[in-house]
Amino acid sequence: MAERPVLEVHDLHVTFRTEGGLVPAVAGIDFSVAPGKTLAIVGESGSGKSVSSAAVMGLLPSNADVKGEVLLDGRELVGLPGDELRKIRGNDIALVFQDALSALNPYYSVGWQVAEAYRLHHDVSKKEAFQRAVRMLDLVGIPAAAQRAKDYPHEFSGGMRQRVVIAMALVNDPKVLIADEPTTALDVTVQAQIMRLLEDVQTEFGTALVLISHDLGVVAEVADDVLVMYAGRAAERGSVKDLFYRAAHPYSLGLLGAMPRVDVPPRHRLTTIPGSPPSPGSVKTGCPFQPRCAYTERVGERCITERPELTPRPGEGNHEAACHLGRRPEVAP
Amino acid sequence: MPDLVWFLIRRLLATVLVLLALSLTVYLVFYALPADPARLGCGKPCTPDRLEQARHFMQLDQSTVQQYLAFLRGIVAGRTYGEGASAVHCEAPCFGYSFPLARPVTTLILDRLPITASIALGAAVIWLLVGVSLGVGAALKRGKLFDKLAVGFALIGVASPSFLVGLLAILVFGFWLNMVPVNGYVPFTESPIDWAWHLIMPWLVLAALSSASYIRLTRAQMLEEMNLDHVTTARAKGAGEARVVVVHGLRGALVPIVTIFGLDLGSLLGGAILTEKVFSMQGLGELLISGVAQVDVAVVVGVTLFSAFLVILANLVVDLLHGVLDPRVTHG
Repeated sequence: MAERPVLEVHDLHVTFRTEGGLVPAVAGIDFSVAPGKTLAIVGESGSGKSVSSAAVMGLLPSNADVKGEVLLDGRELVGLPGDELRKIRGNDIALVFQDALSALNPYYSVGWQVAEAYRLHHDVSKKEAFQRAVRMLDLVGIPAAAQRAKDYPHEFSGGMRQRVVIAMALVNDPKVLIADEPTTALDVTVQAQIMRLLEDVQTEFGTALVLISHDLGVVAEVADDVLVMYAGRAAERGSVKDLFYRAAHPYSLGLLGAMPRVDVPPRHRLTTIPGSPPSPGSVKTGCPFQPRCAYTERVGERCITERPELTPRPGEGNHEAACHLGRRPEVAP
Repeated sequence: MPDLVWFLIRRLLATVLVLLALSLTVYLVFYALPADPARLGCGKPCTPDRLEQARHFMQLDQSTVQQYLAFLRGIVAGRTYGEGASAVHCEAPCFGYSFPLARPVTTLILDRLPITASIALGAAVIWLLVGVSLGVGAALKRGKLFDKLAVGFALIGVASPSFLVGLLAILVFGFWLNMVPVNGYVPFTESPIDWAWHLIMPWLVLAALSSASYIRLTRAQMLEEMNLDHVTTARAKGAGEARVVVVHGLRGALVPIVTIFGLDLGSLLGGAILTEKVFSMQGLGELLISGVAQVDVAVVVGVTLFSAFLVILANLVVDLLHGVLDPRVTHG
């Protein structure tokens, strides 16, 4: 906790300029992550999790407007010229994608691709870079890495491919690793291996990990802090224990109710959240979650007229939720 | 790699079969024509006696099947027409003998090939460079002025007939502006500069028209490639935009471009008929046209077979290149 965060994001806004007008995708979120720590960003599809990570990397298309602060070791990244940002991408902040098959280039050997990531930031010969790539592939647990480095992505299994992607992200020893649903495309048994691998490298290199996921099981296991996003905003944030044992936002409770658990007494059946998430631009006033919320009646008019801000909640320090319901609601009705 | 060897053996057998079928078809079609090649060879006055003599000398008095078999035998063993002092020998591989031109067809093809190859290869290099770079540019500037100009140029190029553009180019650059020679061919070995100077017009005309389809193909492929996840990966790794476009985007677009290029080049090498005619170049296309006009069966069959062989060869080369360009392709 005491350690200074390596990545800090303050009041991040992302708006897309489209033919149909301005579409806000992220409307003011804050998060930070310290070396060796893991922050999980949780939310449904379209809640702005992936857009936020792309904004941090400066990877959004040219029709996206990014406002706010993204500080890497105190250095502002928003508005940095393209060439400066290029030096940071893949070097200080690296990305692990969801689908390793499409994230890897089918026309080059995996060793070449890992070596390329190294050569882009280090002035070394191709041979040295390739040797470095082989060491990384070995480190992430690819058997016979020296031979397999010459193979092409389609010649690997899904889990091995994801290891290649992780090796590629780690080859420059980045300070921050952003993993966007790194295990979603994998078998359950392989998922656990990949998460263990991420944890291992994190301990070994002191990398800060931003884990974007909708798998609360994975989040419970590896995260230190959690940010729950809904419609481009923070619904709740706090430590992993805050979220799993003291969740204060009805949306967080809905997510938890939809997840099978072994650590709390079983309820009869899993619950669902009725309806579907709004498109981020469509909520003008009030609480974006209000139309789907089971507690609206208890609060009344305020949910429709006034947007709830993040306010402190009981917990391990920085537990906050954006809900008008003052005290913690009982477990889903 | 035994897989590749078997692949090649199978493809070569198929090639031979296709060429046999093709040669038989051309033979039959030509013998169904009412024109009599012997009449052109019998001189004037053409008495029935002399006509019969000519027919015997040209071996046209045999049945169609016998003639075809003689043609096949000639490829392997060579062939002699007539007897004694007036005999004409055509050495193996003999693809027939052109009596109007008084040369074996094999010699004719080999004489004309450098001209056609010069036109085709030079134009191909230009249209590939122009087509691919304009296509990439158009894809990157999608919807902008550059894109619209490139697509408009491609549309005009696809729609324009080459003889019209060729004649206009001759008129404007050859006669009005008097900048470049409008006909004739200088062998490369004689003077490389004159060679290129005489070819520059046919090259540019052919390239301007052919590059059109490459602009469209490259543009469509690049639009697709640049949206793929691995291109985003390249950016996330910290690659500069030029590297992203060329190493990660264009690399994937290369496979279909090389395919079409191989096939286009293969068919063009068999004779750029219209271009050769317009620029008065004595290439394979011109040989074929005059062969048809003179009912010169040997020339027509020979050039047709050779063109077909080039197309089939181009197909084979393209298939092999696929294996090199795309690691996911195997020749099973």
